[in-house]
Amino acid sequence: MKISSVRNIPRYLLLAGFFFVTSVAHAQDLIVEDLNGDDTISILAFGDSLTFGIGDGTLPGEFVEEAPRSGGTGGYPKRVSTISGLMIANAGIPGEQFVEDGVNRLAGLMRTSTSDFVCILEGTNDTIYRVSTSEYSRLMQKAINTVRASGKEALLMTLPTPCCLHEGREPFTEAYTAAVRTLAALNDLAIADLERAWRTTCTNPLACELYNLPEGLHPNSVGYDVMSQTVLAALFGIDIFAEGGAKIVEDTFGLPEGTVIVKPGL
Amino acid sequence: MAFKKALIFALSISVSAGLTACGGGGGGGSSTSGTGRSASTGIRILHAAIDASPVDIYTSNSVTAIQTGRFALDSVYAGLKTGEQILTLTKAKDPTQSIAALPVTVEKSQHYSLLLYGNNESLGLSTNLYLDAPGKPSKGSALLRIVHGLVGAAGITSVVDAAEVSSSLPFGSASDYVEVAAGDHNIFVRRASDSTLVSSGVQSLASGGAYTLLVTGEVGFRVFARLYAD
Repeated sequence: MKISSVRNIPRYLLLAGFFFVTSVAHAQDLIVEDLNGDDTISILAFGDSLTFGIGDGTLPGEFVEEAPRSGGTGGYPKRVSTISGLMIANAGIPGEQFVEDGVNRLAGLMRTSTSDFVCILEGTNDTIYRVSTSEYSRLMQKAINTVRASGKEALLMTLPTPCCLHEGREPFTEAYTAAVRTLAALNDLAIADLERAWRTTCTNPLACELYNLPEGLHPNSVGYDVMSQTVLAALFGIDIFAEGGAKIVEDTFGLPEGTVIVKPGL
Repeated sequence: MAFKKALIFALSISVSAGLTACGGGGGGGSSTSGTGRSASTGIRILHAAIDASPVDIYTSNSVTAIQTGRFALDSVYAGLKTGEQILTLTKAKDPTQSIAALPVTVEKSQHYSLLLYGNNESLGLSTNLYLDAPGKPSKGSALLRIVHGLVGAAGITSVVDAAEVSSSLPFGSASDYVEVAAGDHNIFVRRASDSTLVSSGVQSLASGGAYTLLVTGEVGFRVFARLYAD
């Protein structure tokens, strides 16, 4: 891993940090590795607008009918990178449909990407066209196979349940989420269960405050915090939904108490 | 900030340790499986169906799967008992979802490759069982065969450097072993129908070794050429 940035840190700090982090890392199960041997751990965040970061920058309580388009530098990838120090490239394209374009774009990226790990969050736009769950599942398996045969590993992500102006998509997102869970188990892959995070954390499931409201499809800033905390926990093998899971995430990354807002639950 | 940088440093130590212990990860689209014959009599899965889930293989004598096969990844030979038996290929972790059942008579010291090919879209999934009996190459040479599991090509033609080693090999089939000089070789694979180059890359063949080059994936999507030591 490239560690040129540590040159100016006093040795005692490095030593203390090393012992602290390695002891935590031993307690957890870090799943990211330098798979391609380039001395760098890098992650590709692949997906649609939820990866790009559309809607980031607004807060709960604001009235938002159409989520603002951020510059693609926010969203969960930026947060995960900031907290963990891991290199994460944002490969989110707003509006992308997985079965038509996404799976082919992923195959192209796998030819050139030097990433070790690929986080996949797709399917929200497929709900517009009511893509069958079997086709979604088949192509997600194709994506997993392509990632792995390219020498990388995948992290699958479930879809947060939409609400309000987009509540009609819920049956499809739930079906895709079930497919993602099945594929993760079948392929022995880690999963960042965003649907579960929404379910345990939203105060009002019918108008979840993690979304831009009444839009109900793209997370606001707090929603992207929840996404990033869930992804971070998954990458480091922490069960964030267990009692005390949030505190383990905070302790692992030196975050102030109360920073992690994902609630425990089934 | 200091914490984050220290975390990066600690991660780097963990990565180095992990690589030392595990020998690193897989390769890209054209790479070698560092496997051979660890079992005196055995079978391995060559998973060439790009949209298919991992698969398990069972024998008549086994309650648990003797091997799990994943698309285009390394595959070692799993031990087999000799005699008549039925080899059953199922969806991974679900023995009730059978993909194929193959009656075989296994003889001592034989090795097999079970090829899974096709797709879940239009072709369906198919299997072929191959006996891996390459024989001994001449001194300074290696043996190589091509297995065709590439969707989108009814036949493929393979060229090692400038010499054609298989011509219009049908989908789902394996070529005979051919002898080539040991060393690094450029291997080119073309779709037979229109000569479109679908794969090219350098493969290293060791003197005295025998290899299977599995050509798989999907034309126009992603093609993989994976070399297995037989």
